[in-house]
Amino acid sequence: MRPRMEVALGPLRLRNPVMTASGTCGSGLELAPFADLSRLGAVVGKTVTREPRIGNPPPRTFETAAGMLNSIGLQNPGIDRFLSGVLPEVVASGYPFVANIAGESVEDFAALAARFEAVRGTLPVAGIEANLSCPNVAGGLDFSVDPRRAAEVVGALRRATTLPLLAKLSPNVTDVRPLARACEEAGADAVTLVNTYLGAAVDWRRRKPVFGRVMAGLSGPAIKPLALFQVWRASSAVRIPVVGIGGIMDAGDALEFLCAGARAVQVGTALFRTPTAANDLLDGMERLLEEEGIADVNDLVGTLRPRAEPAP
Amino acid sequence: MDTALAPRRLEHRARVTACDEVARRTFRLELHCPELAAAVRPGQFVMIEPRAGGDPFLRRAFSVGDALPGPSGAPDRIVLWIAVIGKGTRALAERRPGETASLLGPLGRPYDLGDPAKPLLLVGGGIGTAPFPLAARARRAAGAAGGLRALFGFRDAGAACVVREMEDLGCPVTLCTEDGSAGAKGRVTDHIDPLLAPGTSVLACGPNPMFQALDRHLAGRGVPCQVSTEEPMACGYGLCFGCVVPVKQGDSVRWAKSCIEGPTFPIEAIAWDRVRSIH
Repeated sequence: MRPRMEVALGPLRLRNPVMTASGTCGSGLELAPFADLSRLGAVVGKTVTREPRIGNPPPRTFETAAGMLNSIGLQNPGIDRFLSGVLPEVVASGYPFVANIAGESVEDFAALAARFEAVRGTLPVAGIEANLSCPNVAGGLDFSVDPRRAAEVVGALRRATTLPLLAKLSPNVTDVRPLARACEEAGADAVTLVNTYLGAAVDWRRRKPVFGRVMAGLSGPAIKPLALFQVWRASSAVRIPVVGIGGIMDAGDALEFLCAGARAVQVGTALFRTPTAANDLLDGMERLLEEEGIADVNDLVGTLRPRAEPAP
Repeated sequence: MDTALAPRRLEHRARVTACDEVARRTFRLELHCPELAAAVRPGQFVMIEPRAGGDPFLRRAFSVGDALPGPSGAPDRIVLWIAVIGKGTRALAERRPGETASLLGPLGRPYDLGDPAKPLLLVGGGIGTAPFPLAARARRAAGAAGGLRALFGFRDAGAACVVREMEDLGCPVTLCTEDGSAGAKGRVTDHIDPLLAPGTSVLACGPNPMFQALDRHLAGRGVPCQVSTEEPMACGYGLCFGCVVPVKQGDSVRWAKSCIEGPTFPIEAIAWDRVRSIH
């Protein structure tokens, strides 16, 4: 029997737990020619900011062992052109779409959410994911290291919109739990983690960093164990759902995240190798759940049991 | 987008039919993949997995150099020319006949071959000569009455590749090398002028310094020139925003994805002073 795949992230109901990750398939329109996005739980859009951003000069990507670094710099057309030129086509295409937003201030975030709230009647998005953690722009990390700042953003977003609200957190902190709790208390419906890990690449012959800003964001299977740990840790600290992301390449990876506490997962870097990666992963999850006799994907969520008493 | 349209399948399984070293650290990889071979246009590229299993992690972008006719006359194999410069290209050079390889393609905007009644000059630098047999084949199929020539530049004789294939396709090649060890001494810009008969268009592929020199050399002369850029790509189909090139926009630039807006661009569209050299 086919397993039941619907999951809920608070008020955001998804037909299945497979989402695309922000920044890895544009608005979805870039991927739609090559994969049936209407089958997915949701497409999470590339970050939109108030003003257009041209992004960082190349190089922007660099392959690493089992992954890659990126420093794109939030290239996007800005909210005005996004709402007029991109979102109508996204909505017409019919796949569930979660808008991802970032600002340099609390006010920026609130203003962006208000814009999506304002067009809800004609151009509804399924939810908003706040990018509290982009490593590739100045100030982008502030909201992700200080729980008070994160709560200010989430609180302002909560006042600006009743749309389902996800807060995407950085793993580049000593302990992600206070941040996840702060987002929960400020009204987030779910937390997404993890964004990329900070990394660097060096061209030693030229004594130069590969990336102009030295640091870049590491993604891919290299970070999967790190991300799994953060998801497990955060999901034990909050009651709201956790969306797991980090190096998920196949169905087995996704089910590990659910087991560790994620209610849904996001597939990102895998899409760069295989355009149908999210669809393939969904098919694989259904097959594996069926094989294991798990009738409802929700039955797997958070079922990780300690093998023994954790060390102090 | 019409959601009723089935998504186009990008991924193809190909069988390696040959992999040979044809010049210094330069390999000719031939792959049996009829669907791709029939669909590909000159200037388009594929993303190939260096080897199965995800190490190296990302696919690599290569111009499709040629599409070879099979027994029925229809194209059934593609050819990639690969310069070994790192881990991925080394893994590809070690591919053996009979192995399978995963490819995505065909990708990117092809060259516009223009009016076959007008002369066309193919300018290649180093491994940038790779896309031109396919261009020569397509041009010949279009009945290239206007004439077709190639101008290929290499560092030295040992690096020269793709020359015989062009000649076999009926395209005369003017060869030059930086040290004079094969053909004329010098770079392509030193030897291009005698080849620019009135009405000639240029298709170019090579390293960024060659494009920069060509841009200066052809500036204001009314010679249409398209280039095929070679920014490293993570995905090759518009998702990662990594492979950007600076396209002029008024007095400024915008970073355009070379995988879908390119890799072919009119030479004057690119702000060459903002392009870095990766060579």
